[in-house]
Amino acid sequence: MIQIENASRWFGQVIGVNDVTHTIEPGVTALLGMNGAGKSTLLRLITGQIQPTTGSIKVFGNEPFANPEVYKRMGYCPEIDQFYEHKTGRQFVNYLARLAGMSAAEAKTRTDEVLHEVGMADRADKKLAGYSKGMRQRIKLAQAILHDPDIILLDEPLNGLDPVGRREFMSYLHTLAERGKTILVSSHILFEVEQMTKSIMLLHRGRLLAAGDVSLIREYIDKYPHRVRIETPQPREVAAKLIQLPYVLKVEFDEWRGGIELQTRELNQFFAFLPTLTTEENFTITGFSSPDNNLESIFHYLIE
Amino acid sequence: MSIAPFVFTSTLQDMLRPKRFAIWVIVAIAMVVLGQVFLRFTPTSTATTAYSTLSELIVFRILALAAAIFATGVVSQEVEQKTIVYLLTRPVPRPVLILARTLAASVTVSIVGILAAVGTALGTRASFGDVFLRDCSALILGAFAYCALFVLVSLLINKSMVINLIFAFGYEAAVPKMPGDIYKVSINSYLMSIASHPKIVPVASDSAPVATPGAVNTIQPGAAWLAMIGLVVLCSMFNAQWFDRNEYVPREDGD
Repeated sequence: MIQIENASRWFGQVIGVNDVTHTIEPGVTALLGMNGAGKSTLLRLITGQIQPTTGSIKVFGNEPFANPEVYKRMGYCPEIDQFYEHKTGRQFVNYLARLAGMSAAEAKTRTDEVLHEVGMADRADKKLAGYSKGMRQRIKLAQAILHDPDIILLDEPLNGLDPVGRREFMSYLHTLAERGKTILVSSHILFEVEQMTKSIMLLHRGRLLAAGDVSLIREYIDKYPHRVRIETPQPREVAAKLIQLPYVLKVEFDEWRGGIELQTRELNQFFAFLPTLTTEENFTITGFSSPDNNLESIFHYLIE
Repeated sequence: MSIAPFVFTSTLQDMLRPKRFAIWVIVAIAMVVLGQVFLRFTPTSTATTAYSTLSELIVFRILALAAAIFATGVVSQEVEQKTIVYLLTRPVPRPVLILARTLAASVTVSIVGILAAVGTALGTRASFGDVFLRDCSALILGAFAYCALFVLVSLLINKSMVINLIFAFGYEAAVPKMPGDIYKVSINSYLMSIASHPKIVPVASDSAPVATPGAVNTIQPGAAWLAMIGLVVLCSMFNAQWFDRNEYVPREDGD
């Protein structure tokens, strides 16, 4: 769908995107990075608003810059919060539907449908100037999906949405992904991204630090042993047993919450062993978790 | 179906919407008042000479001013307001986008110019005869020429409105009055040739001015038409090519 090969983009002396290579397939992929990491620049490259200085970007096998054939199959929700403020939400979406090549009748029908899908059907006849941030986000999403594109690019789409709106948005995102759409969502909020997808592209200072499934990326980070937290009423006994295992590096007691936390370099081997604690050693294990097998930990490990 | 008619009509509707266009209607009404004031203070003027004087001095300046404003709205204003992103990520070929929008701006500026001319004719009680009709054709051609040129400037330079206004009021006012043939590098000189206003020659302090054909401007109306059409075509071709190949991206704070 989207092929990025050694793409770099310079703005004078400043590099926006640095030698990024990746292929984005159908499903939800999160483009993750701090402010200034190059997320919006990469999205602008993919949407053909700007051209790579070196390397190439192909969407459906075509270069996207100023290419109407690509735009027929691509929807883009920009981060900017600017609109034609004198128009109503309905007029704005309808205008962009007409620009997408729909006839007046098609545009009207599709505008009504899409406004209903994003929960704006009953508020679409007010002027955009009077919209809240959340309403504006919904209208931006509506204009991105109105021509039923195969690729949808969303730049910080959850900004300004209330919790209900966020839940609805994420649910809608998964519905789109189930329909086979390729969705690329940029965000700098890890919590949001974790709820959206496990597939990430992590950008830092223009470089692609990691890409793929969150848990697989975590496995590749050898520098930091995996942490595992075990809930048990017998922490000392369990700790004494576990510390004997060759792949367990360290065991600590969690005096605040009870239980123990250990570090291991062989997570799969450890989880294979874990059931024997209860079946053969008769210890009581009430729960376990892997506190650093999440996006936030990976993010911090990778940029350190 | 081609998207060009929709781009043209939607842009025209936007430029002619009441809130945006009301000021130009007020300007036209002001020209009615100014025409009457002019007649009051120059009682020896005929309706035609009063109309011609005000047309040269003010109506063609209004035309250039309106062109500077509406031509900036074609691309530059969209970039500054960051709404350009919605236009450039639609399946509309960029040359179609810019040419249709420039055409809409030119039509709008033509309407502004003709409205001001109508206001002036009403104020000076001039007839809507040959002089007025020649003015209308010069105003329409001028609207297209100024818009094509100002769009070109806005494609090349950020914050182009200031440059365009300086051109409209400084360059276009000063260059036609300069000695030698330098007046030929002003759009206004060609428009004056097409308009062919009667030249006003004061013969005596107590007699009425006498209208005679233009003398200083040696550009023939036919050549003026060709030059202006050539300018519009060349600028439009350049604009379409340039806009198709270059990036127009609003600055964003986040990235």
